[in-house]
Amino acid sequence: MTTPALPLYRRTPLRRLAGVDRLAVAGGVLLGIVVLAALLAPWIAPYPEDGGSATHPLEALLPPGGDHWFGTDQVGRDVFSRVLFGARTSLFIAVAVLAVSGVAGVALGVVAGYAGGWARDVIMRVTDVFLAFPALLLSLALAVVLQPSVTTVIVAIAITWWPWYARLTASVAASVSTRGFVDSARCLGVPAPLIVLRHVLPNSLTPVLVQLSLDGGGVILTAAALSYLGLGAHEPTPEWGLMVQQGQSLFTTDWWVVTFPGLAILVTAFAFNVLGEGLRARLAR
Amino acid sequence: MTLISVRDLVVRIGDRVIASVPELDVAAGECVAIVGESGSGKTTTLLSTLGLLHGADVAGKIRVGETDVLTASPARLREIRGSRAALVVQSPQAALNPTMRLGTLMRRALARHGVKGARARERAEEAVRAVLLDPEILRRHPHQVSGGQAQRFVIALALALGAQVLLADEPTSALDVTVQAEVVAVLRRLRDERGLAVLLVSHDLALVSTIADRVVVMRDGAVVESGPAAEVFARPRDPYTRELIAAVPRLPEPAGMDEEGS
Amino acid sequence: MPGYLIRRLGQALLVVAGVIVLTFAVMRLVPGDPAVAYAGPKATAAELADARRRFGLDDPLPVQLWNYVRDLLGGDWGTSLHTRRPVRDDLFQAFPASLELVGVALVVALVAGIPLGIAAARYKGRLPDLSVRLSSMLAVSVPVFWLALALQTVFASGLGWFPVAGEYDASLDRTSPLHLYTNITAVDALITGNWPILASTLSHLVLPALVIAAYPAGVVAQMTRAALIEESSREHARLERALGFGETAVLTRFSLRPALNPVLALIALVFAYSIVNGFLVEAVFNWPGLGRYAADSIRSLDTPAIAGVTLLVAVLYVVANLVVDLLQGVVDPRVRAR
Repeated sequence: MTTPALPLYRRTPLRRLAGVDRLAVAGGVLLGIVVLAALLAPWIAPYPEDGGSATHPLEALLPPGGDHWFGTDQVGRDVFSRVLFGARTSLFIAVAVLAVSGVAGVALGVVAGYAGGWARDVIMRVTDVFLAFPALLLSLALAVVLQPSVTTVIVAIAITWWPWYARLTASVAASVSTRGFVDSARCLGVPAPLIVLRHVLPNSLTPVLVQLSLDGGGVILTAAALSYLGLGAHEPTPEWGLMVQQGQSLFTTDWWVVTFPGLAILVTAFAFNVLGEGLRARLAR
Repeated sequence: MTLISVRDLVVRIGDRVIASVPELDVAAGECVAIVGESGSGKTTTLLSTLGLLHGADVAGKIRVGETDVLTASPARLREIRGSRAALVVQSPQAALNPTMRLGTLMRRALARHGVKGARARERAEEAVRAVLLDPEILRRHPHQVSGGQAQRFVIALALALGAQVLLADEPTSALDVTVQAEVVAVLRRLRDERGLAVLLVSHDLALVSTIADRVVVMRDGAVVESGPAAEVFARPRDPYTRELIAAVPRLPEPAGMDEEGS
Repeated sequence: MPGYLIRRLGQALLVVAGVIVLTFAVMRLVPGDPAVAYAGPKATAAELADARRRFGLDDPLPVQLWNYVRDLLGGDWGTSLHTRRPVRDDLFQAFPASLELVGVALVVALVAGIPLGIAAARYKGRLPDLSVRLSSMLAVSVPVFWLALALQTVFASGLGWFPVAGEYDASLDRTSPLHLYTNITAVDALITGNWPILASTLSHLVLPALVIAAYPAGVVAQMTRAALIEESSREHARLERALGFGETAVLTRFSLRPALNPVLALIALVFAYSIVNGFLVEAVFNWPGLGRYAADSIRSLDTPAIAGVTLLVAVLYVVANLVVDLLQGVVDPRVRAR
C-alpha cells in the first residue's frame, strides 16, 4: 500500500470540515432557541394565560402589531404566546417518541445483531413488516383506535418508528460482534448478556444517536400532521398542527393565524435536520 | 529523449512536506523505479507529474513532453492525461467503473482524445492485442475479468491513447504472484519493443530489480539515494537502502545481470 | 440471479403475510362494534346478532383471520360501512387518482432533485452546494399541509393562477364526458383525446403535485449529492481523471450511474411515504384519491375501508421495494452476478 496518508482529490478538506461543523453548530443553536422557548414559555410569553383555554372575544383576529406580535386567533388569544407554548407540546412529543422507540429499537437490534442466525432473521422480518407501514398511515389507524390525545400521538408514532433503529443497530452490532475484543471476551467466558452490555452496545450507539437527531424533524412533522387531521392534541392544548387546522378557513382573510404556527413547525424540523445532517457528515469523516 | 523531467519538486499539505524530489528524469525506452515504504512520498511524486494531486501545494518544475504541468491550463492538463502519460493503477479491478463495459470505457476515452468511429475500434483492438488479450474482453464488465486481465486492459488504454509514458503505481501489488509476472512481462515488452518510458512506484524490490534501469529510493518524503539499478542493488550507499534490500526474502540476480536488461 | 430472485420474492411474500396479520390485528382493536356501525344504533338485538353472524364476529380469532385471508385472496376486501360498496371497488376508483398525483410529483422530484444533487457535488463546499443543501433541508422540513394551504391561498384563491380544488372542472363531465380505461384521469383523457379534461386536470395537478414533490425532491438532491461524492472519490474516478476526463465528466458520465443505485432504492421508500403525505395534500385540495377516502373512513369508523387502505399502501411499499431491488440488477451488473 502506498496510499498517501492524506486524502487526495479532495478540495480543501480543512475548509470542508469547518463547514460541516458550522452546519451542526447552526442547527444546534437554532434548536437551542426552540428548546429555550419551550422551557421558558410561562415566563417569556406576553400572555401566559393564552397558552390555555382563555378567551378574549373582543380581541379576536387582531392583526400582528405591538401588543400581539403574531396577532390573535379566532377567540382572541395571543398567537405568539400559543406558538411559544406549542414548542413544549412538540418537543415533548419528539423526545418521548425518540426515547421510547430508540430504547426499544436499540434493544431489539443489539440482540439481533449479536445473536445472528434465526433470532436475527425473526426480528428482522418483524421489523420489515412494521417498516412496510408508513409512519403516518399506521399512526392514522392507531389514532382512530386509541382516542385522539397527545399520548396517542406518541404511542402511534413510536410504534412505527422503532423498526428503523432496530435495523440500524442490528447491522452495526453485527459488525461490532465480529471484532477482536468481542471474540476475546467470548473466549474468556464472559456471559453473553454482559458482552452485549459492556462491549457491543456502547460501540453500536453512535450511528443511532445521529439518526435520532436526524429523525426529530420527522417526528415533529408527523405529530403535527396527526393533530392537523384531528387525531392528536385537542383544544385547548397549544399544538402547532392543531392551530393550523383551526385557522385554515381563515387563511385568506387572517393569514397570521395559520402562518406563524406553520413557520414554527418548519423552523423546528429544519433545526433538527440541519443538526442531524451536520453530525452525520461529521461522523462520515 | 526525456519524456518526464522533474526539478526541485516540493509537495506540501499545510506546513508538512510530504514529498521533495530535487531531480528525476525518465527517458524513452527507460524504466525508472521509485522505491520506499508507504508514506515515503513515492505515489505523491507519481501523481504530481499529471497534476492529479488535489488539496496539496505543489512547487518546482514538472515537464511532461513539452508541457509544463504546474503552469498548464486545466484543459491542457486534461489533454495530456492519458494521451502523453497514462496511469497504471494499483488495484485494476477497483479502478474500472463497475457499471461500464471495458469497451465503453475504451471508446469514451478515445473519443475524449478525438479518436472516433472505425479508427477508434481499430485502435482499441490493436491495443488490446498488444497486451495479449482477446478483443472479446471489450464486451465484458470489470467483474467478469481477472485482476491480471484488468491490469493489462488498463495498460491497453494507455497504448490506445498513444501514451509514451506509463505511470505505474504499485501495478502488481494487488495481483497474485503468477499474474504479477505476466504484467511485468507486458511492461518490459512495451518498453523494449515500443520504446515506452515507465515510471514505476513500488515497495517490491524483487519486482523492481527485474525491470528497472534506474532506481530512486525515498523515505519520509525525501530522496535518500538514486542511481543505476545495478549499482544501487549491488552497492547501496544509504543505510536505509541496505535495510530495504536486506528485507527482501530472496532477491533474484541483480538487474544489471538480467539477460533481458538493457 | 434466479436464486436471488426467488429468495427476494420469498422475503416479500413473508412481509406481505405479516402485513395482513398486523392489519387484521389493528382492525380488531378498533373500538365500537362493527356490527353496530353496520346495523345502525337503533337496530334490534336480532338484527345485531344477524349482523354479527354476517361479519363472522362470533368465530374465534384464528378462524376470523383465516376467513379474512381467504376473502382477501379471493378478491373480497370487505364492504365499506359508509359507501356500502365493496372496498375493492372504492380503492380501484380512489387509488388511480392518488397514483396520478404522486406519480407526477415524483417525476418532478427526480427531474429537479438529480440535477441539483449533481450541481452540489460538482461544486462541493462552495456556494451552489451550500444553497442546494440548505434548500433541500428546508424542503424536507416543511409541513406539507401547511405548504398546501399556503400555495392554495396565494396562487389559487389569491392570484387565481390555478384552480383551488378538485381533479378537473366538473362541468366538463357534461360537455365532454370522459371514458374510463385506467381510472387515471390524465391518462384516460390523453388516450381518448379528451383535450378539455386533460388541460383541466393538468392545471389542477400543478399545485398539489408541487407540494408533494417538495419532500422527495429534497431527499433525492441530498442523496444524489452524497452518492456522487462518494462514487467520485473511488478508485475508478482516479483512473477516469488520469484518462483526461474533467470533474463534470467524471460525475455525470461515470459516477452518476453507479451512484443512482442508492437513489433508486430511496425512491421506493419515498413513493410510499409520498402516497401517505399525499393524504394531507388531497385533503386540502379535495383530490378524489386514497387520502380523501381514508379521511372519510376514519371519520365514520369504517373498519373494512381503513383496513383496505392500510393494506393497499403497505403492499404497495413492499412491491415498490421489490421492483427497486430487481431494477438495481439492471443498473448495476454487480447485483446481477450475486
